[in-house]
Amino acid sequence: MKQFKPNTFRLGFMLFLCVALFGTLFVKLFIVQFINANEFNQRAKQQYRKPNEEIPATRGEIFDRNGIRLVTNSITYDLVCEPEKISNPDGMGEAISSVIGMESKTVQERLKGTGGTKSYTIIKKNLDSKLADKIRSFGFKGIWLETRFVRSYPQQNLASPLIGFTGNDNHGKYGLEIDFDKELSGESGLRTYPMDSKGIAGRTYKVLKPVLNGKSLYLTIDNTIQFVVEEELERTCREWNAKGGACVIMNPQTGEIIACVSYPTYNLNDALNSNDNQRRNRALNYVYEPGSVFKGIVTAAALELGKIDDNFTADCAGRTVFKGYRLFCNNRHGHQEKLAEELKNSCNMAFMKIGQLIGKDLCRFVNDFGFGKKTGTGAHEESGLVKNSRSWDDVTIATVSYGQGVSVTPLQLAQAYSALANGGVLMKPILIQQIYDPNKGTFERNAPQPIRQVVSKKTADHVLRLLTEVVDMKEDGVHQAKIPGYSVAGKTGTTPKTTASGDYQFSKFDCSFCGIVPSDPLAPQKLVVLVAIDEPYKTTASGGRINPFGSTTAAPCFKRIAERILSDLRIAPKEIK
Amino acid sequence: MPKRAYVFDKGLLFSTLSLVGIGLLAVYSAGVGKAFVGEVPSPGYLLFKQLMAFIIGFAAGFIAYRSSIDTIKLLAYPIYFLAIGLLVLLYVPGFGVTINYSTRWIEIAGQSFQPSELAKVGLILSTASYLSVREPRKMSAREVFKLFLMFGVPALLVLRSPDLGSTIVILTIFITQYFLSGAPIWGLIFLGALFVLGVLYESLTRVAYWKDRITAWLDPLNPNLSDNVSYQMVQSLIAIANGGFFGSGLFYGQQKFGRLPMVESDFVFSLVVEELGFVGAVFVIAMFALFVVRSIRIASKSKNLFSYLVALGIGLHIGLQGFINMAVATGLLPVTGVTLPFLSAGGTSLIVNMLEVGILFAIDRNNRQELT
Repeated sequence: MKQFKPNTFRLGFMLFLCVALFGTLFVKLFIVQFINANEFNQRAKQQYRKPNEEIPATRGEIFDRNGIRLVTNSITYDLVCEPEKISNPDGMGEAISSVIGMESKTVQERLKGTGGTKSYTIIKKNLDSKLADKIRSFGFKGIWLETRFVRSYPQQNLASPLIGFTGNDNHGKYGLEIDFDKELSGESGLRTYPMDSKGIAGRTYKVLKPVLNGKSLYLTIDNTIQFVVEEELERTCREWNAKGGACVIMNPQTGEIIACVSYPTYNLNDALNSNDNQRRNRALNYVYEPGSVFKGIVTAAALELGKIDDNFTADCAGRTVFKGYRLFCNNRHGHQEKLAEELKNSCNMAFMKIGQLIGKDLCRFVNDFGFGKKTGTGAHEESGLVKNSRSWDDVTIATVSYGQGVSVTPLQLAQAYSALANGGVLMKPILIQQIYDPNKGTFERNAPQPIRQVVSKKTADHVLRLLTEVVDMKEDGVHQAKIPGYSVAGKTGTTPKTTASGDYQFSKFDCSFCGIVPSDPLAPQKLVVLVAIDEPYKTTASGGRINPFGSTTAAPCFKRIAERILSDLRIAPKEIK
Repeated sequence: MPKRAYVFDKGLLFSTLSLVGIGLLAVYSAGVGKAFVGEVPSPGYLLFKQLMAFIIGFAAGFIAYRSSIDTIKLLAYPIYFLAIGLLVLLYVPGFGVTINYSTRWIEIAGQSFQPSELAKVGLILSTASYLSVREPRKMSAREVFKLFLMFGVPALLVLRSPDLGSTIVILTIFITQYFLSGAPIWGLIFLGALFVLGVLYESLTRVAYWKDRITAWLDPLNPNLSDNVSYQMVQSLIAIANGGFFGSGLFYGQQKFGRLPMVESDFVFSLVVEELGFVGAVFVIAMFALFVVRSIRIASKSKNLFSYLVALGIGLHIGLQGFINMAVATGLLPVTGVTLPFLSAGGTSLIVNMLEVGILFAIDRNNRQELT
């Protein structure tokens, strides 16, 4: 056989082809890995992980000062089906409808997915655990129960205007539920599940964003006191056919609001059947002219400035014309009284004179006592209405002196009286005692916060003594607010309501009473109780109208409340001498 | 110069060992993924089978290496007829194992076997043998058609199984061997015409099938494609894109967990790219290129036509099949379904590849002996 000699040209051609082929492979690899990589990586992400799922945050609860639950969360069940996986919708529909109390035809249609999606259909929402158990016992395929947390209010009506309720989205709609929605809601987290090749999510998940559960509120409200006050306020309001009423009980030394009551109330678990009047929290949002109750504040201002003393006397003709306005005193006969009696009899003319003595400084005191601005409890509240200091004229001074031409909320008035009971120191009202953060396990406490010394302790104690005399010195019988065994300071107020145009209408009244018990300046613990009744009226047997007064409506209510709660709060009666 | 008992082409040895090594790691990695989703009984299952095949293949290769060229030449036709016999068994009910609409395996005594792999080496050897005993340049038409018939019988059996990928591989090897032997060019024209007719027949009878495949090839993420057409392609590209420059790390791939079908065999390259990155992929491509270059080098040193054609055929077989496999994995070619030599799990393929390497080494040793 002759010597074999390969064809180098053809071999070279093969080598070239080989290099060319592997070269294209290299280029293609580069393109996939570095130029088009993004779209494939995107696709990879989609198939490796389920779309991010929300981790719902548990909404915070609301407790009273003693840790009693006012608001909590409970589980509810939604019955859901996947129509394409249901083999026998008619039979299943019959069985399910008998349990959940829905028409069987409707249930069957939903099981068939008629006119809707075939993959996810809600049959009925909000089933309780008993019904859920019954549904489960059927063992049907293609239906399942989804659990959901909803708000539940174990105390039903208690403090309902204050607490408010949530909407379908589990976010607040009224009351503290909306005012503190940010704290209560927390922040939902995000998680993602790894997914295997069959699209089934793994059991372990990766948290992309940790969930922050809602914070819980501990109110300063005392469950028991609140209940008593609600009962008594309701009794008074019903007796006087009032549109509504409010009561604020405050610890003057700390500013804690122990009861925050508004009448009428409603059942929070049936919140959809409530009306605006029921949802309104009058304790913080009812703006009215305080009338004579304000005289306690004016007296403090005058005493602080040294404009008057106990012996201050004023002549009152019962009526007067001031700068073209006709003004009347409660007692329309001429009289001349000393300061304590002027307060007791609520002589408007005398206080007009006191107002004139104080002059423009009255505006400063009104503001210093906290009127005209929100107290800062965190709950929704009105700021009331105090004229701008530049627009205070003689008429303003005169009317404000007896509590008209200034609008306040029950809370503001209770706060101002608390300053008188607290040696002249105005405290910031506290409604939220502490906020519990479950994520950190920490409590954020709202410590008592003095705002300012409005008047000296001497002045405050002086006013306290005068107001005690008001309750003590009732000549024609016993004062409606007098409580045996306790010293009570207080002042009534009765104001005709104004119409929209600003005129007074002498058929509708705001009647209120603000009391301090015990009123002894040395008492270790005091309570300030403000009761305000919105439009009380009564008719006599013959159909005649009985005009309401603070002394006949709010004062007796105060008395009944105080009598019932003083022992609860362990405030002892004074020594029997 | 003392005569050494063992002489090797170092480049060929290096590329072979590298590819086999990477292959064993990749097969183990794929086995872990498949065991996780329950497709194989245990993580080491595939590796064990592959190791067994490697041992058999190593023995076969070693025997071939120690054999003389004449012995190899003598065994060409027996291997060829054994392959045809086994290919025929594919069509015998009870032997053929059908996977993915293709009957490519036969099962004897619990062991599956892929006859088309044996057919490849059988054809390489018999074609080389047929051409080397004649003067190819002076072959008569009758001799040429006899050669075509010898090629046509196993080729048609492979094509009908159906296994288009392998058919293209053996056809290309055959054409190359024919071309490089210096046989008459008219035979090539005849084969080319036959090839064009075949392609026309195939594409006209299965228009929809190929339309989808080509679309999937050109634009794998095309939303109009039904999922199962582009699925494998997309999953492979995801794995490759996922690899990045350095890869996710050996054994840390994601796609082997039930997402990429045939990750241990036809798409093992995707796994390698995912886990070893661009660096690993380029290394594998380079090793295949090195293998081809070294076999061409060995062929060029051959002292007889048989060695020359066998060395070229084997180099072409490994290189071309490697190229087609990797081109499919990267989306350069539509999905055909050929294994990646040395890397893909599959006993027959590895044993045959090892045998081929043994033959190459034998030729190389033979070349060197005749030089001294």
